[in-house]
Formats: sequence, structure tokens, C-alpha cells
Amino acid sequence: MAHGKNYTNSIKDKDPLKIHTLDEGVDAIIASSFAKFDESVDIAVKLGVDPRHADQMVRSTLVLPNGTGRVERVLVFAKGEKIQEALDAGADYAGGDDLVEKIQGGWLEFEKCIATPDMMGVVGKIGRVLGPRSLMPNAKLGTVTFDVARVVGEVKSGKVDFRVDKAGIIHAMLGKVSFGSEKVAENIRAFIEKIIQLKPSSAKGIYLKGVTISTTMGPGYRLDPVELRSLVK
Amino acid sequence: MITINNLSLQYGEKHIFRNVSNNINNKDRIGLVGVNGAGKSTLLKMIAGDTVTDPGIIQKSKADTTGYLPQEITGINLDETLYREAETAFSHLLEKQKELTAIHDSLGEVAPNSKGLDNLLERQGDLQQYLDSGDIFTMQSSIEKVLMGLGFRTSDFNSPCSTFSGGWLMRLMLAKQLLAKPSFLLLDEPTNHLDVQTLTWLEDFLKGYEGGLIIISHDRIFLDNLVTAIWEISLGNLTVYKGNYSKFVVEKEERQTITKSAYDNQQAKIEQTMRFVDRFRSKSTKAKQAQSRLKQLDKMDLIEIEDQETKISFRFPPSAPSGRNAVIIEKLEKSFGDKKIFAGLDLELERGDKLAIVGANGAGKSTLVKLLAGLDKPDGGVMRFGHNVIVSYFGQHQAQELNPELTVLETMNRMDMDKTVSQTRSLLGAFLFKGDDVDKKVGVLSGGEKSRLALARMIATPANLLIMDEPTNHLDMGSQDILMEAMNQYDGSIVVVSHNRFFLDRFTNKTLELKDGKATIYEGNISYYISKTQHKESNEVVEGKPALSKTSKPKGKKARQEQAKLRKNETQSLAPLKKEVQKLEAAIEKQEAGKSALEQCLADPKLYEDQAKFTEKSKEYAAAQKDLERTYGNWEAAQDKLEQAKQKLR
Repeated sequence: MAHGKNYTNSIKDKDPLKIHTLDEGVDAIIASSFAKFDESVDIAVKLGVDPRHADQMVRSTLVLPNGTGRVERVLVFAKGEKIQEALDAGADYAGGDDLVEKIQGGWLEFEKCIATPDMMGVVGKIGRVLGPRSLMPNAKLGTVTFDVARVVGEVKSGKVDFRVDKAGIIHAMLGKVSFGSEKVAENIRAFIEKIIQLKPSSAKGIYLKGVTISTTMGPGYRLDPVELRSLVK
Repeated sequence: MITINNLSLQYGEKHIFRNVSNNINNKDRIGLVGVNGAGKSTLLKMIAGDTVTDPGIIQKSKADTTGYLPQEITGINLDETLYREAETAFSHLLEKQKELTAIHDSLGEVAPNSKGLDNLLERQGDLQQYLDSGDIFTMQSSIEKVLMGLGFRTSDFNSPCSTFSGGWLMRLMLAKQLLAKPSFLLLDEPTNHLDVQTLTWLEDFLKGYEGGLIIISHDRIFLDNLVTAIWEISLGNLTVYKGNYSKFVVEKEERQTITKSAYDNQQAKIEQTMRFVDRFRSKSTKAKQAQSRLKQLDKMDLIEIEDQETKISFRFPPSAPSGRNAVIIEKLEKSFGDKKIFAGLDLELERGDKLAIVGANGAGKSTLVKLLAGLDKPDGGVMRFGHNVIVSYFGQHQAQELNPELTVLETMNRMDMDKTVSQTRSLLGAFLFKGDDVDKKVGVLSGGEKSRLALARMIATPANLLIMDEPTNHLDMGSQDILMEAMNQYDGSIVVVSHNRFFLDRFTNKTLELKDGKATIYEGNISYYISKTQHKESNEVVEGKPALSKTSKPKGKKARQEQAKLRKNETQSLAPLKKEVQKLEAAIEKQEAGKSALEQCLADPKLYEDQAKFTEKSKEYAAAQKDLERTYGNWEAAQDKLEQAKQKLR
């Protein structure tokens, strides 16, 4: 693939075979960031799981210690006093049947969707709209709850949800270049710790096979999974 | 991965499998071949789990699923609509979705701090996760894509399954298997009921299929295009060949030649050693040497030659030739109730013509041959047979229509033919009914054996017009080859309905396409027909009809450039020929005008008063006529050249 001159410049001194420690890697991606906007820091983790087995599915959420740096628009399906509770906690939209109708009409200006359990009967009707966009509330991810204020707060303060794809890889966004190396490294450590906690008991062989971090536009740097494991308490 | 460990199966004295072991990997594409009754379908059923084997014989990884398409129609609810029935391929997802909806409803009724809430929420999470990772959201578009690819129309979606014929129900079964996307797709004769266009679509679909494929098919072009390995089941053994079917045929012959020569060498060596031993065994000085040679012989690994499987062998018996025209059909009409099958069908079949009839299921192919065979009557039009035409008919279900209570020999004897018992037996022998086989009841014969018996009945009486409807169904490749060769050498006329491209290609010289009640004749075999229709398809956009083949339309700039280049070449190479034709046409016009002027002159009575002038004009007229004839000859030759050049470019 042909790359631009900025990218080519940024990989001039990069050794493609080198495996980096966490600090080296984070420093390297920040140093090689060249875009005119505040780039995101992305991570890709290759796991030793077979996602075809239902019991080897790795999927969860995590509130990052330093947030994601991205403000997400949150919609809450609720009724009664819960609507006001959600709005007070910072939700962008809260409501019931009116929102369902709006979504059925093609409106989708939000990134996260939360529902109280008593609203799921109504929300289920728009499953075909929300499902393909991964917006459907899911109790496993904590987005079906009566405690809407807490969840809205978490999402607003930087909650990431992630799942392993068909190839056994997890992708996630863990912050911004503007956070600085320390905060980014802290987010990565928290993320790896969570993934290690989620190891399915039926997964065989090496679990953490490979970890690569990059910025939105920049090159990827491979991290040493063994070192990462040792950093986790 | 699927592992087969020491699979053995025996019926009476016949070994179907003798310690067969092998592995099937997730991306393997395997063609399963063997003669009728070799055990191909049995093996597929065992892999699919339809036939129970001892534990450990066939092992499958837990995550792997298998989808099996049998040869006969099973598991279809005839009262259900087409779409709903196709949807059952996703039944595991639909059940989960139903459960999820029920949970959503119950969540609405549960109080915030009640006991059951946590359990419900946990189940909701599990189900939502399961559905998110499945194909539930793309289900509708997948169903539409597959059903339309297999030839169904949007208007069929809400019709009940009971309104579809057997061939269409087989397509529905195939659609369900394709939609379920199992890790291993096991297809037993998937091509039997498909027309040529659907076959091409299926090939394209299967080429992009992500899982493993195991296919039994007697259509070698289909196998050639899809599989990368051939498993041959023969005499209880399974032999693996890498490559497609054509490579398998070549390699099998090579392997047999090599084994045969190694066997011959070994036999020669054994003979030589035995001669040495016999000669020197009792000679004291050489006895030790003779003994050691004997020991060497004992240690030798003996090469075994596979027994050859016998093939059927026959020729269609010669019959008195018919008149020049075998059949003439004019404006033939046929309808079933409100449904018009065809109208205004014209066809002229000359002696020696071999006509293939193609078209989608339900286009009226079998109806037409039944009309030809006199089994049905047309609603209108004329159908005349030529002088001395003797018709012999082989129906699509001929094999199934045999009386199961009769024995093979009795079935033949019921025919009105003047053959002695030994002649009948030798005829049956050619179709592999040997010894006591002729006393078997028809009811116990396999599909392939019944087809062979039906063929034997057909050739028992000589005829000069063969009408055959799907003669290759259930016949193994070896038998198909023999039938194909026999039809190729046959000097009478043939009308045949078949979807087997390789089979038809060999002997047919005309193709009749039945489509939407219209019949079109193509003066060539099936390859010619396919090239013609694909050319036509790429030139015209049929409204509301899905593109059946990815390759039929050029996509992208490169493809368009390529097309433009082809057009340019075509124009350049045809230009001089077209110019020549135009020049000759202009000359003809001029000469015609000159000739008619002379005719007018000759019609004038005054001319005959001047003898010299009359002679001169007569000579001129004769010369003009000659010139005109010559120019016409040249124009015809130029036209032919132009046509040939056009053909070549296509």
C-alpha cells in the first residue's frame, strides 16, 4: 500500500521486528504521531481463543482510569422518575415510546444506549435497527439496569466495551495522544488486566498471543505480552 | 476437523468400506466418486450422523457443524410458505430470538428489587450476545439472495411449498443448507435438478463458501470447477487424489500403469528366482544360495493389483433409416389449466439430428418430450413424424416406473421382442446383470441399477428416434461415458433433456431452449448455447431479474477498457469484410439496373426489325446476366466470410 510522506517519515527509524516494552511502545506511538488533530490510541489484542465456541467468547466493558477522551452521546430508555434521573446523570436523551418512534423513523444520533429492564419489551421492537449497530442494550454489558445514573456516569467518564471478533482479536480505543505517555500506559495496563481476568477456562494454549498499539494515523508497535502480563497485579 | 478412524462396513460378502481412515480439514473441498453402489451416499450419511456408527469411528470437533443434502426430499413442511420454510435454516437463532422477546416482556412485569430479576437479566445478556454474534440481522437479505439465485421469484416467496414440483423442493432443500452455513456442507447430487444457469450460480456461490465441502456429483464440470481433492471409493477402499476430477482421471490412469509395470517386474523377478531355485536346489554347491533366494522371496513385499470394476457396454442397435425429416412441429400449444407451457412452438428435426432441450425447471421440457413420445396430447398445432420413424422413449422416472414385483429377467421378457433367453441374458450381461442377478426382484435394485435396467429395456427394440428425459440421473460416471459414446455413434435421431453439460456437449448438434413459453433453436451444442446466452445476457438488462452470474457483467474500469478493446478489435477486423460486402451489393444494384434496362429494350418490338441490333442486345443481355450471377456468387462468399469472422470473434 502506498503511504503518505508523513507516515513514511514516522517509520524511518522503526524496526518492524522489534518487540517493545509497554513504556517504549507508548513513547514510540506518541513520538510518531503526526496528524493535525488529537489522534486516538488504539489497541489490538490477539487472543488464543476459538470464538466459534460460545464458552470462549470474550466480551465485557471497562471504565478506563483516565477515560477515553471521547464524549459519547447517551440515550436512555426509561419511564417515570428514571427519565429525570438519567438526564440528571448526564444522559443526552431519555424517554420511552417517543424515542422508539423517533428511532423507527431513522434517527440515530447517539453512540450508547441504556435501558431499564421494564423498557426492554418496547426496546426489543427496534432490535433490528439497534442490533446491527451494536447499540442494543445488554445486561452482560450492564446497559440493562435500574441503576441508570451510575451507568450513564460510567459511560460519560470513559467506559469502553469490547468483544473478540471472528479471528480471535479484540480491538479498542484507549485514549488520546494528548493524554501523555503515563495516562495512556495506565489505561493499557487496566485494559490488559481486564482481559486477563476474562480468560475463559476452556481456552487452551497461550492466551495473550500478541498486542499491538497505534495511533489513528500512525504505525503499529508490537508490545511484549510476557512483560504486560508481569505488569498486571 | 472430521476424523474417520478404521471405518468398516460389510453387507453380506460385499465390503463397502474396509478399514477406511482419513481426515477432513475445515477448508477442504472434496469430490466423492465411485460407481453406483460403491458407498458414497452411505459415507456422507455417516459423516453427517444420519447413519449411526460405533463411537470413535467418526470424530468431529465440538464447534464443527455439518449440513447434509440428501438425494430425496425430506424435512419440508408443505403447508408452510416458501420464505418461512427457508427461514427454518436459521431456526436456532429464531428460537433464541423468541425466547429473548419473552424475556423482554417478562422484564416489564418484574419489580426492581424482586428475586427473579437477576436471573432474567443474565439470560437476557447471554441471548443478546448469542444473537449479536449470529447472522440474525442479515437473515432476510441472505434468504432472498439464495432463493433468487436458485431460480425462485419474489412472487413465489408467499406461495405454500405444496405448490412447487419435486425439482423446486430439492432447490429449497439446497437453499436451506446453503443458508445454515454449516462448517461442512455435504451435498449428495446437488446438480440433479438444476438448470444450466442455476448451476453456474451455485458454482459461484460454493466457490466463495467459507466452510469445507464434500460433494457427490456425476457432473464432471461441476466437480472440476469446485473441488481440490477427489476421494475415490472402490472395492471397499478409499484412495485420495489431489486436484480436480480431470486431474484425477489422468492420475488414476498413471498410477494404474505404474503399479501394473511394477507388478509385472516383480512377477518376472519371482519367476526368475523360482527357476534358479528349482534348478539348483538339489545341487550341493548351490543349495545354500538357492535357500537364501527363497528367503529373499519370502521377505519381498508383494504388489497387489486392484481388481478392475466392470463397466456396462452396449451400442444402440441399428435400425432402418427414417425419411429425411424425423419430426416436424408447427405452432404447437400446451397448457395446464391457466398456465401456458408453450405456444406457437415450431421445430423441424432432420434424420441424424441430435437435439438437446434445455430450460429451467417447469419450462416444459418433459412436457415436450412426452408430447413427442405420444404420452400426452397437445392443445393445438401440428406434430408429424417422418416416413418410417420408429420412436423409443426413456422417461425421467422410467426407472421408478418398473414393476417392483417382477424379476430383472421377467421385466425384459414382458417386452414385445423376439429374443431368445440367452440373447436376453447376454443383453442384461452387458448392463452388468450377471448370473443370479437376473433373478433379483426390481424392488431390491439400487437407483443406478434400475436406470441400467430401464436402458436395457430401451435398447432391446431397435428405433431410429430416441427420446430421452434425464437419462444420466443416477448413472455413475463410467456408465455415463458409455451411454454418451453410444449416443455419439448412434446414426438415428435423438431428442434428449439433460442438465449434464459434459454429457450433452459430446454428441448434440442442436440446442432448443424453452424459456417463458418460447422456444429458441441454437445451431450448436451446449457450450455454443452457453456462450451465446451469456453474450446475450451481458448485452441486455432484464428488468426485475437478479444477475445470476457474477461473471456476466463487466465491472470496474479495467473490465470496461477490456470490453472497449475487444469491440475495437472486432470493428477493425470486420471492417474490410463489411466493405467488400457493401461494394458487391452496390455492384449488384448497378448490374440489376442495367439488366432491367436491357429487358425493357428487348421488350420493344421495334428492336426485332433491326437484326444486327437485336443480336447485339441479346449478347449484352446474356453477358449482363452472367456478370450478375458471378457478382451474386462473390457476394455470397463474402457474406460467408463475414459470418465466419463474427463467429470466431465470439
